[in-house]
Amino acid sequence: MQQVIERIYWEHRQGLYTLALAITRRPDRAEDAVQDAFTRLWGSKARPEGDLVPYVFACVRNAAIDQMRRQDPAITGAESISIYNGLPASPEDSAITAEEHRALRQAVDALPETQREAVVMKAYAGLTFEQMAQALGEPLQTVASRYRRALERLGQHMTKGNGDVSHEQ
Amino acid sequence: MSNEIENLLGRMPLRKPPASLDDRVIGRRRRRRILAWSVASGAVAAAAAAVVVAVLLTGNDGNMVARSPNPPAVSNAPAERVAQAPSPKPLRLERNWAAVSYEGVVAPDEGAPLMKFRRRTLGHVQMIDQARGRQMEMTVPGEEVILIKAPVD
Repeated sequence: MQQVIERIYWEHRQGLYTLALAITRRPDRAEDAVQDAFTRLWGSKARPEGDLVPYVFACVRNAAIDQMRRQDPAITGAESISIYNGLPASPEDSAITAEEHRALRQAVDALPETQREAVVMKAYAGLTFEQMAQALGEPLQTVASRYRRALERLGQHMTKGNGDVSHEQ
Repeated sequence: MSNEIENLLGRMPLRKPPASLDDRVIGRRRRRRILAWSVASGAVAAAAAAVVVAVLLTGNDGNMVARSPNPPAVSNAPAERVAQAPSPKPLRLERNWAAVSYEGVVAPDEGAPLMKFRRRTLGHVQMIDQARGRQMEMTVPGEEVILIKAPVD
């Protein structure tokens, strides 16, 4: 099982870290959360059956929430960090303008936490709705509709003058 | 519209996990396993040495079996077979060596600089079957690179 978990780490390290960062909003806390989660996984006697990817994501999510509970609320807002690195998209990618980039980044960062988690797990970690439902412990339909609502919200934000994407393709 | 938003999301450059995260998640686990392996190997080597000492002290006349804490099970075999001295069990000796060398600092594309160490190991296993007069040896070399986050002043 430990080899499988290590493989999942290497395959999903970006998604796991982004999920932790989306919850904690601080890179150091996100690192701590991922490390805490894997420390627990390495030491765990549990032998869950089936797909372990949602299980690992659930562990990282729980560890990130634990980090949030532990952190001082006074500094949370001041040091809040985006999941994006702040750089523009690649120069050859002319389909996205700097304005669209900025607007979308702000829109994602402004999403309610549950919707932001859904966007990270689906769009960045590449999980299926079934895997997301397992990781979040919620019905598949709930998770799928939450993701759709998040996309709608982002779409509304982008068409309200913050970055019209209607010219895309 | 949803597809367009998903396409846009896919183009957004994410904040990358630092290289130090790999060391914190995977590196520490591997070092812990190596430590456990070393402790276990040391214990096995100590146990094997204790067996050798016991054999040397008691000799090879079969008396050691009589002093064993686990007496042989009662057998229904004929008397002449029971009278035969039981053969000593094969011995297994295991020894391990390890050497660590420092190979300088490496600078990954992202994240803090890392100190690079190379750990070379050599395991030697020897099995001795005195009853049959046979002996077998096996040497297992190993090598691994360990990266540790360099202290920043």
